[in-house]
Amino acid sequence: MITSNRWWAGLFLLAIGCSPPTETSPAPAGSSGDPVPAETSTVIPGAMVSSTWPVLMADDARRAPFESHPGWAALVMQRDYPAALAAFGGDASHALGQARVHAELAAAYRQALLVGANATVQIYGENRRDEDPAEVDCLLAVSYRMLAVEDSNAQRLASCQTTEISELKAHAEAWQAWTGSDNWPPADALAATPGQLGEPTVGALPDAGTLPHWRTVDLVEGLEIQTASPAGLLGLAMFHEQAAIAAAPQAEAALRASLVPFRLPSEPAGELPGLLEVPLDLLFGSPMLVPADLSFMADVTRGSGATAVETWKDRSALAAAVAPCVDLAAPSIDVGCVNENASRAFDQMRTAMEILSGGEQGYHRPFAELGRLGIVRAGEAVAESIGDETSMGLLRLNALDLSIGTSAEPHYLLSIAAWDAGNRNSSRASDSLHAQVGHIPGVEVARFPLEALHVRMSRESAPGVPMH
Amino acid sequence: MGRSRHLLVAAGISAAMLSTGAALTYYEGALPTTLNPLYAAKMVDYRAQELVFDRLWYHSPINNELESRLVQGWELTDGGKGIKLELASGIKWHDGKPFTANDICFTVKSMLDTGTPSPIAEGYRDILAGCTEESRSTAIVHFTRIVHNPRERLGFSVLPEHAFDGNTAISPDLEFSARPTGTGPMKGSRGTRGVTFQAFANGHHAPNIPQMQLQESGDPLLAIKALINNSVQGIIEVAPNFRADVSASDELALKSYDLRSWWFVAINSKKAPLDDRRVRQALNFMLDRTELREKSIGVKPGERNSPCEFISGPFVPSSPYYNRSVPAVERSDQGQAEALLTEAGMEKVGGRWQFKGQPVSFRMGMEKSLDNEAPDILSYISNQFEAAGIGSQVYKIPPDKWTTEAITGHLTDYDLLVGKWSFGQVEDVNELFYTRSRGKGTRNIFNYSEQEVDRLLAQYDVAKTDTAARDAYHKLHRKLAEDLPYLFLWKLDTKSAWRTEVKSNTIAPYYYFTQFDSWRYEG
Repeated sequence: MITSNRWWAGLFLLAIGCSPPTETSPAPAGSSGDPVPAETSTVIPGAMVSSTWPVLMADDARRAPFESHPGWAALVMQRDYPAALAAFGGDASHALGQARVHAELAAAYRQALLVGANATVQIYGENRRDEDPAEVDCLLAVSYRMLAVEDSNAQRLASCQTTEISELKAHAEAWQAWTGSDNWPPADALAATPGQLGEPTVGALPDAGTLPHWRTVDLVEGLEIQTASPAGLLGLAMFHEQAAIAAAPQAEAALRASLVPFRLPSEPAGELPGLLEVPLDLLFGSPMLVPADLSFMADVTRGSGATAVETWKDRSALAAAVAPCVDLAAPSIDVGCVNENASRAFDQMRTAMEILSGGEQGYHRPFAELGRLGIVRAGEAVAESIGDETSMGLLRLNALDLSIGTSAEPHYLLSIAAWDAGNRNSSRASDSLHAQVGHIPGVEVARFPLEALHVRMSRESAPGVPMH
Repeated sequence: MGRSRHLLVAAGISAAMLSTGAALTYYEGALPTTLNPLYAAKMVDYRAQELVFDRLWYHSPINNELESRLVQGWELTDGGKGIKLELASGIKWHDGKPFTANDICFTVKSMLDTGTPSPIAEGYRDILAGCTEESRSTAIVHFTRIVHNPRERLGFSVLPEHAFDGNTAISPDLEFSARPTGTGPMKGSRGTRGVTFQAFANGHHAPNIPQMQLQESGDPLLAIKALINNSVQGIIEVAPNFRADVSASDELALKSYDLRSWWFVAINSKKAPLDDRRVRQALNFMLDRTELREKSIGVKPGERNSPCEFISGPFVPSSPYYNRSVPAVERSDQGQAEALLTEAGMEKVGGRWQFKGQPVSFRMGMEKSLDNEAPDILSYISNQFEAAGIGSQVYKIPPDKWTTEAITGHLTDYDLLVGKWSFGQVEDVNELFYTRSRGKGTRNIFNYSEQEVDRLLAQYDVAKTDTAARDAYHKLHRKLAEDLPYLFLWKLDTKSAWRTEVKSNTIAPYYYFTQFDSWRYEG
């Protein structure tokens, strides 16, 4: 079994494309005792920095169970869900790791669904053309429903029931039966959606069935159009959420809280989690630094915005870092301040880790980078919550720049793809989705509407010529 | 060097720069060939022009909204075949003259004038019919037909009528190409060693950076060192091999630049023995792309989320136009290559391939600046052919020569040319493969001509539906993968590196500097 620090650090460096360090830096002078030296400007209070997972993981003994397990290497360093699930399989001592993978998959499928739903709305709702077949009404109605837009969906579902594709007709009927209902999840409608998932099973990784789900033809030239139901991805999301809880029922509240920022607009809000007990396994290698960060992000996502920052800033590292950048009166958020504080917190964590390790180690930087990313993402969530769309967009682009190497979380990158699809930025959305196809089974469902959108947008753009 | 030492060095240099009023400097792989937007041939041209000119409409790099700095109101006219533009007030050209509706109409008329030999203008001739100046602040742009989302079609840069004395036949060689007059945030001037940009405060622009220099980068390692030492503040395209160095520095930030680029080796199919398709197919099997990519780009086999992905046709794999049923050749297959060459009548004598009794040797070229992104790729390709029994002489082609001779189909004394094409939202490849005649095939490097390919390109051109357009390009992809006017290599993501003293530097997809007003330099 490989257990050395060198192996762990080496893998991290490999993942971010760095050469291993040839020597370690000495600890800063006069750094005994206090993990945050005086010259480091404080963004996160010192005691809170010490309780962040990157700093806790600077303790060799605490890190050992994680670095010795290939499941964690696959999940945290390579962001490779299939490999992580396979490696965790049957290892009861790492059930939380397995739960974590399932939870991230549940988030990823929801975001892939939003990619497809947003693209469907943009092409068949906002830019419908004479060539589009009646069947797209089904896709449009289900997409609007997932986005919690109730405009004429029953009518659309009725309209597309004239289709000669019997499976699509049954699908439309099932979704129509559910329309207007408060039941969640829409079990019967999901049962009528292509792809047989079976009972949620820990360690399983089902796909979305045979693709495309349906074939129809355009109304001008009769050429084949391939389609897939975005709702197929909802089934997968529900499957993995249940598998996550089955893997670690004791952490159900924390697992559900981690999903809040990634839930669909159409999902019931449920109760706010409050302050949770969160095992280190659910924080390690994530942009959530301390347990209260999960609660803070859930609170912000629910629309509490600036209030959530005030509520959580004494307990959540992310809230503490973002708080000085929020103008409660406006309310608004200062993008430059968020980025600056994220960098300063990054320095704080690295310094604290260096002190504990007796020098710089290869894993310090990528661990602290995740913290920096978490702060920028927290700023982004606050900006969205208070309706500051420009700041949200800028912070989202900053977070995208930081989401490289070990910080490239698939479910977050898919959330940016969903935003892009909603903005008709089909190029970047396609690139982001393409990066996950082959790694997350079934996400290519979202490709059908996204590609259709891209072709339409490109054909209706200003002329372009290839450039060298 | 420890972090604190780095910071001290950086702080010292920054202080020195403040005292001398140093400008912000950034590196491009090559200098722009022109600052005239009608004649952009390379991405560096577009990027520099984005600082100097305003496009009529552009997409916000933040939320992709369609926006205009020049137009404050619009309405459709003529049953949708025209669009009436109400211009924003207070906008001046860089020479102080007022921007008017006449300038919009002049630009449209210049693009429609067949005396303007611009491939970019050629693209607009299909949709633009003319322009009427209703008043100094109102223009009506006429389309050839009713178009969906007409504002999306108006993405051209606006030119000053007075700079051309009203002559709508615009030549690429005018002084304007080096010292243009625009309405953009910066006034630009191209010299032999770089481009100087100076801020120009205007009614619609308020740039924060007073001066900027574009310089040619040269050796990528030296470029990175210059960035680390703060001799320059940005590099537009950082080679994948050096991205880890950027990521590992506290003073540098790696930035995403959304650009769809793919690399190729163009084959001169007019010259024997390359006029035989079997020989081209043999070359395709001789190349070991996996090894090439590892050596030149630094991607290990099986590496996840690689910035570089193999392709089998003229699109990036994430594109809807990419035909995923056509596999890319990732490893060499010398057995297949030998069988094809033998079938084509070639003989292997003493380990060297001969054609009609003469050893086969190819003249290979590459635009010099590509070496910055994929170091030594030309040598690696040459070595692989050499190992397979085919000789070669390699040449690095200066960027200007590439633009004026390679793209225009005049480097016919070469057998193979390594290149890269970049695209934005529009992935139209027709200009690359159409038979070169009557305004078509303007970027057909070796004047490739194939009837079935022309037919498929025409199908794409006249496609009534999105599905028909996509089907045409899927068929084109398959056909080109068989006929091989190019050996398709890979798509390569682009990343920039900027010093962290450069703040709020949002990078727009494709055009790069669209949001330049918000950029700040705190050096």
